[in-house]
Amino acid sequence: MPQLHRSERALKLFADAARQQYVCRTCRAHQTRSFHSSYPTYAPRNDRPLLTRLRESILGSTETTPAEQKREEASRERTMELAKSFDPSKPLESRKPSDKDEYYDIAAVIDPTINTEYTPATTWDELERVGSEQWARTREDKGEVYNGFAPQKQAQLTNQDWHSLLHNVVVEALVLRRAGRSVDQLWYPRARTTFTYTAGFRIEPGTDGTEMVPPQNSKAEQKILQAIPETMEGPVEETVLKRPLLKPESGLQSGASWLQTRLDDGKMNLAIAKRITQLTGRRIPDPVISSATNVESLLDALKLKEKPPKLAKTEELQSVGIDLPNVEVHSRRQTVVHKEKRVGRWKVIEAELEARDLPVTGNRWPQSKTIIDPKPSNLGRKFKRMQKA
Amino acid sequence: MASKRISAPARSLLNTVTHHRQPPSHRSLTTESASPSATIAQAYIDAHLHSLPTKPVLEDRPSSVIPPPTPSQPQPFSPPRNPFHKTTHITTHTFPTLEPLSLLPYPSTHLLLPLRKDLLHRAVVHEGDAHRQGSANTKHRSEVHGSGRKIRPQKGTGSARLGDKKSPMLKGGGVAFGPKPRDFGTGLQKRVYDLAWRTALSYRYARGELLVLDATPKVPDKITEGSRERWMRDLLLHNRFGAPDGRTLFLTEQRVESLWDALRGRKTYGLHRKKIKDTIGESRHARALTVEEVDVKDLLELGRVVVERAALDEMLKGHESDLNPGERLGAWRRGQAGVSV
Repeated sequence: MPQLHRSERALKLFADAARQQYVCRTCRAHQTRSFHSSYPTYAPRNDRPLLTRLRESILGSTETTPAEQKREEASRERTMELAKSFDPSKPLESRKPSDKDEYYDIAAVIDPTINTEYTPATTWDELERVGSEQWARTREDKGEVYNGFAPQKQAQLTNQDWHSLLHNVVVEALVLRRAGRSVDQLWYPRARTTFTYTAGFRIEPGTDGTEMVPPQNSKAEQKILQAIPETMEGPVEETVLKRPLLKPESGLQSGASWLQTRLDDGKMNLAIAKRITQLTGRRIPDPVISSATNVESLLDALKLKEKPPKLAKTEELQSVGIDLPNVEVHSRRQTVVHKEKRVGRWKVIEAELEARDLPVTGNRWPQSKTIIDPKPSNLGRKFKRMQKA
Repeated sequence: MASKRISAPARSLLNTVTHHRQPPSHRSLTTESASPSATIAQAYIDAHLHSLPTKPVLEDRPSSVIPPPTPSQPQPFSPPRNPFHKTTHITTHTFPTLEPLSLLPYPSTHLLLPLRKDLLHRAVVHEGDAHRQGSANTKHRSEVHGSGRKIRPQKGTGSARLGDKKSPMLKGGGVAFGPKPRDFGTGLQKRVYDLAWRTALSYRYARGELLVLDATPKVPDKITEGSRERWMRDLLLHNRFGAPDGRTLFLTEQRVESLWDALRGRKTYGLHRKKIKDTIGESRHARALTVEEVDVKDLLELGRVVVERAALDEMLKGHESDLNPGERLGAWRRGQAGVSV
């Protein structure tokens, strides 16, 4: 029997009704699946054997090798041309691809044989790192600068400096009010400060509020009014105040009298606080601005509070000791000895102990104040020495 | 020295006490005289009082006539003004320069409340309880998969008696009193919660950690999308609002997309240039929330609160149920406007 394909065998059996042989379900299904209207035709096999084809793909053939060499030579020529035209002083060329919305720098082509001054880096220091999320964010950032009202660096002033600064600002505010100008002009950006002019002003509480010396329309006052602009012409870079603000020999008004200058107007309080923020970066808290009735309240909010050396010396505990009759504040722990001394019994106790040759304080036990050696290896030896003693 | 005149109410009292409707007098031949009680009262007055009476104490006429109603409208009762109520002011600022602009008045019942740590504690615990997921779950012996067959005979084995293998005594069995999903929320009186809310705001105000902005804090349009995050970080560090200074909470009425993006921006870079839809609005330096999302714990958590003026008013108006109608913000402002006019 000629060699038949399985499907053909099944078909033959199926077609031959006389034989009446059984055809299983699987064969019938296979027959249905593998029905072809024509026989498959395979691609003609290559005339070269497989090994030859493999060798040629790895080592190259007489056709492929020259073509590849030609391509490499063309690429090398292009690279050399680019390397010759490289100029380190010129910026890199940037191009915008059609499908992108930003520009890309075209990398320079360097050939070490041509660009002899070029030395490749051996470490990654100072080399641009490309491709991270941070790199992508930095590329997208256009670098807009933020400008705030208050300076970034807070001025570090002493209590004397705060006193001087507040005096200057309050005098300016009072001068503006006396001249009938708006107090808001206090914080308009200006080119020069007025410390030398305001130092000579003395603020005295008068019958109707405050009186200022020198009197109105004096030369110093004119200078101050000229220094403060009447319009806001644009931001002028006003540097943060640096110490020292005012020299001690300038004759600045000191003492508590001018600190009692009344501040009835909320607008005045805000203008003074705003000017201080503009110069020093310090913000006065809102409750202080709202409730301040005199200049001293503003100064208290600004000046540095000296930290008392002991808790007992703090204002809170001292006031508790004064206000409450049944409370005493002491700086040291009160021991039995303190109590006995207060009563007057201590000298008697002391005399009696000395008479009996007993220690007045502490005891005379030899090991009462043992100093333990910090080195653990010596602990055992020390203990043995103590025991022997 | 007290006056010895009988006051009007006392006089009328005498009238009412001694008066009764007199029958029409029948004139008789006897000497006319006043009634005996009137004579006694008058004698007492003459003996004790030194001032001239304006009119006889007892008069032969019906009881005091009810005075006709006064033509003017009766004044409704208004309680006396509370002397402890004060007005305080808060500074408004511009954004983004944070330049102080003006002072806004607020009543002391809203921003000058004394510190009540107990109320704040109750409110924070109540919020924490409400936020609990409560989803811890274990299987009871009835829920563990397995049959109820008795795994060994009751007697004769020498070991302890055992029922089914799902017993909590056995490995692989159920949990005896294990957690079940439940609601951990606790109740807190609305008035107490509202008072705690305003106490938290008052605490922040007293410490100078409450900044009010006059308008919605939007990132200016001139700042490109790619620069927003870095620009916002610069703003926070410039004004000492960032992580080194305790972080800042921005509170707005509505969600401000530019601010949310600036704090935790959308990723517009990457391989496929995908945009993440929902932004968190929180970065290492600050957090942004709307008024609906914020609670007492958020108000107290970070270093300071920067709030939009409209959002502050909305918060205060939404948490004043413990105040009388006349003390609430709207009524207080109307009263202030009337006083100023």
